[in-house]
Amino acid sequence: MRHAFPTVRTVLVAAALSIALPALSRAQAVDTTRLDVASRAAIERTINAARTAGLPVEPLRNKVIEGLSKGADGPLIAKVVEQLRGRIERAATALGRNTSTPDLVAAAAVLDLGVTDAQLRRVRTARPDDAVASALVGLAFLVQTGAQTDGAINVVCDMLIARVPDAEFDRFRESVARDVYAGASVTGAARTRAEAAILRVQRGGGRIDGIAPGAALP
Amino acid sequence: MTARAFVRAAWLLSLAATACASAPAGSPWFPGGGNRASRIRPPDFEASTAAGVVDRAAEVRVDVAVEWQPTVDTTLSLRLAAATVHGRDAWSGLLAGAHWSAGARVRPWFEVGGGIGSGNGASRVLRAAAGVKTGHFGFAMNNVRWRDGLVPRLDSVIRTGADQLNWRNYGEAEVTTVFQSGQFRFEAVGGVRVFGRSGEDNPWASAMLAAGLGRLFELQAAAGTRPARPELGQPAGSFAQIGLALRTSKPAPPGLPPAQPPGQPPVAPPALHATPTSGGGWNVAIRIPSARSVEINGDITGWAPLELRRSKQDATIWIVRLDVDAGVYLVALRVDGGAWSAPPGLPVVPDGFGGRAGLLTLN
Repeated sequence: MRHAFPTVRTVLVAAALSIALPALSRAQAVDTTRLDVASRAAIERTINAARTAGLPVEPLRNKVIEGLSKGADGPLIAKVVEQLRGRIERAATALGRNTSTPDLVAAAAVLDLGVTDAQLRRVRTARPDDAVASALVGLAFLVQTGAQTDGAINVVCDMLIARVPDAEFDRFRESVARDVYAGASVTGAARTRAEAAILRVQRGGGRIDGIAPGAALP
Repeated sequence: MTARAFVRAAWLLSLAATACASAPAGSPWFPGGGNRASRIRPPDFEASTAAGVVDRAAEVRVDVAVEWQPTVDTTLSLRLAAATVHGRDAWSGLLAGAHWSAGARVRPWFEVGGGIGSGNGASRVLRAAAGVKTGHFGFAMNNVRWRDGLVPRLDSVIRTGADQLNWRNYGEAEVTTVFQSGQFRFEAVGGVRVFGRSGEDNPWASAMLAAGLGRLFELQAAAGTRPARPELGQPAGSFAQIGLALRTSKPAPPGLPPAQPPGQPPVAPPALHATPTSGGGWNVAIRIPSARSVEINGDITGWAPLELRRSKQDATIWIVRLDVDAGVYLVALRVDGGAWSAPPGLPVVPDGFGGRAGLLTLN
């Protein structure tokens, strides 16, 4: 009888997976057959939990594929996928449930770099109703390049409040990378380049004197 | 405290903020901080003309300006303006100005100019003004969450002007709010004179709506009241006008760093770049001069390695076209069959499996 329970459990899990995993496999062509049954079940539980919570499951599937392509074993893949689900859930709580998948992927990445939930909420406060993925990728770049997290958050939030567009964030990141490559400190480069980006946005309404054509008349 | 005393105190505080904010390294007062030698764009040219009414008199204005940003936080301007008010006076003058970023929220500026006029105004004037613009003042001072798109600023101004050496000094505080959405821009300005009052010191307020017409032109309509300019003999009054502005501005697009001359060290690190294609996909490119083969892998390829090909135009650039949606992807790069690593130029994040990957944004 001691062997009966594992056998029954294995049969039940296998039956459940035979129903659940083909859907996963069809969606992403994920060949999970080399994973052990327990890991496959854990992964499926994680994905179902994410779906039930209204979180995107595509990043989790991508992580499974990544783990498989890198030859990781089943338990590690299951653990990494569960950790990613946790970060995505924290990101969704901080940024709001209607946040887009790219924003959540970027937010999960910056959480992994040590940015806190409260700091993430500051990013959402700075731009309440729009995409923040580019800003978060810029933030990740600053943090990973060595900037203090608080300072990096301030720079990024200043840019978000000034309505700096997404393309400017990419340009900002490239400029800071070049400055750092040339020997500048990441903090100084980030602040200077952020000011430049904000200045470019404000130039349209930032005339020296007055607002109307001809207002600069002496 | 009376309202006027309160305004005056706020104005003095904003001036004090200028002194504090200009102190950190990287400010114009402490050269050496940051990367100050970077020229970020060629000079911009702007010409505008407007017609309207000022206190029921017809007015025509013409304004030509050149602005140049020699460093990332300095803007120099030269402005030639002329105006005539039917039956009253006519003016022409030249202004030179400069303003700086001394922190993300504070920009001190000054301008100096002179002009000649006829009619009711003074015949010759000199004028100098200095001030500080404080960007998104609300967030900086009290962490107010402004509605999406609103960028309020507080401008403090000290003006001094001479009407044939009869100097008139006065200080003003202005609050500007800008809202931009697509091709439309709305600006509202309110101001009050805090010292040097001339007997015509009612607060002023005006608003402008601007609509972009293509890449170069902007249609502008403005109305409101404007302050007296004592040194010009210009009284306070109401105005309404409509104008057309021509503006050239060439922001430098992001792109691959330039090729380096042989034997010289590179001025920029290699970096992976993605640009949208006309067919809806993306061209991903990187400059690696010495590579024999380059592969990309990641969410973007379903974690199946994909080989980049040499660009036909530049053999040091490796490129691949990817048909994926906009988004954020984890990617890795492999050169000459070596180890997979995060592509240069992208933020690096741990992959959870003992390796690292780069965060690529496609937008």
